[in-house]
Amino acid sequence: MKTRTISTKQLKLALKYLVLIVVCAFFLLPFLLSLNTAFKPADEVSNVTALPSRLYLGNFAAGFQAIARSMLNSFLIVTPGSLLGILLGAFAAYPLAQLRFKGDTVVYFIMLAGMYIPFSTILIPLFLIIRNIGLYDTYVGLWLVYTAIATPYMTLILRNFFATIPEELREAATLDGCGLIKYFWRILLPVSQTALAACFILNFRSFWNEFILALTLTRSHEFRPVTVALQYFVNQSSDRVEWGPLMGAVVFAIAPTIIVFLLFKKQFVRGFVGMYK
Amino acid sequence: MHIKLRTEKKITTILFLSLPFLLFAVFYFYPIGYTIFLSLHEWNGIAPTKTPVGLANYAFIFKNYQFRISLGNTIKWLIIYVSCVTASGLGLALLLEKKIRGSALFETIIFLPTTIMLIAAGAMWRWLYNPHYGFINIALRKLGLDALTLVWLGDPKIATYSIMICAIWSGVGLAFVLYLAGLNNIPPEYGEAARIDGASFPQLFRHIIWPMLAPANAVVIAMMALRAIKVFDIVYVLTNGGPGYSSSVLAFFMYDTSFARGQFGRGAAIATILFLVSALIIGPYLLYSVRKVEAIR
Repeated sequence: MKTRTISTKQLKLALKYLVLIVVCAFFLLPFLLSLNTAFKPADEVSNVTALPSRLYLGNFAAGFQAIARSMLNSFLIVTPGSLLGILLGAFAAYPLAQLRFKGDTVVYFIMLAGMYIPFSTILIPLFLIIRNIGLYDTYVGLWLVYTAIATPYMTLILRNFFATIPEELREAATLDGCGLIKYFWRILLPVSQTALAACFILNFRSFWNEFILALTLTRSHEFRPVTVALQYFVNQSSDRVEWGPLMGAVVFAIAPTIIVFLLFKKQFVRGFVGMYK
Repeated sequence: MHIKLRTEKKITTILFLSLPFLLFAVFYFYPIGYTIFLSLHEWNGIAPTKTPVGLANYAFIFKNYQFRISLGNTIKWLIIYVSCVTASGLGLALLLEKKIRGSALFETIIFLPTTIMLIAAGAMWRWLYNPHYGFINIALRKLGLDALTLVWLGDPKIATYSIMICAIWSGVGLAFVLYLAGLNNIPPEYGEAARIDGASFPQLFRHIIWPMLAPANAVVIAMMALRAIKVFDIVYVLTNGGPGYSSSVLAFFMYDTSFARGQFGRGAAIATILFLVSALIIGPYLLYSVRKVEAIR
């Protein structure tokens, strides 16, 4: 009797692994096939299921050439946009979490609602504002819009984080003659480093991957970020089916977020979960 | 001293909230109002004057062929995409709730597609779906299932579903981690007590796990519904709304009308409809989560 219960347990575990392996194959397959294609010379690309006869790096060179400038643009757009979004989120979160005032729930609710407004519903006015202040097709235009979009998310996460910092810390600081403004810069922000870092990772991923605003607010090769450049490359190469260089470009385009994810898995996932709690 | 502190608090609050508030006013409140305003006008985006046309833009849209297809597809996304992502996310979270050897690796792999840009996901899947050299059709042919080899993105009847599969591939990871966090929040004593009482897994699921997962369910469903309403990138890169308009969705229709055809009034009307649809779906969730926050206080 005892051996039988063990074997059903083992059977269940084996079944679990079988399901998980099939599922993971499904999730990994597109990555593996793209990598496989990226390493093949043009005449082997159509032989999809075969491995490359030799490691051919020409596709990576061609793909990199097609999107290198836009990757630089993305870095120059995403980094300031993320940092400014965190700063403004911290500005709003500080009074919400620590100073409590009349109507703070209303402000909180508005911020929360802001998180859920699909960009496509406000895309036309955003485009017109940015165009009218002369920031269409510039880095600064996207900094502004990304900052605005990050602010409600950052407010929410940082409000929840600041709320865990004991009031005594502030009271003690005030007794020592530290004003409320100085407290924010000198104490609150430094003790929140881990949360701020998680926020940066979150922003970095969403803005590196952002498409519709980037498509609407940029036009030229000098300013368009990597999502837009990759989209152009897809359309260009789909007729002539240059899958090799395209997959080379895809590998470069997704490498930054994948590397950040693999390095900071915990913060990455915790940020996601924290955002929606 | 006490009064001084209160004044300082007030001043600090106003000081710190002013910049975020200004940003909100310019980039959220004003755009929503302006979208509604513009939806009552005819404008090409360049001309100095906007002609008021009353509800003509809405009348035009409701009679429009592409609108009906787009609305139908958005509803399909809301039903099929949301239920598939939610169910698979929950299923995988239940499988990996208890740590087994290799769970960290499985978790990483399941979440991996969520980390990459949808444009890249689309590029990869376009290659998989290629009717001649794509992996899917070639694999099907090799398995002798020639009847199942379809023109995945070129057949108007199935294009939307093909896009959805790619979106599900990239969306399951998010539902999965949210459910995993939800399951970890259930105190283990509940499950142990039930197991000692001899409850089977279906009983355990129905009477303990499912009710305790209510908050996670609310979050996941609201999140995924929002993603379904927002769907744009992946349609743009995989089919550009085609063949014909067959895979167009509301967000794509809005972009196409305003920025490709320069009909900003009509585009704004579609944006307003989109806003109402999302408010209808997200509104209840917002009220629910604010009540939760109030309760915690």
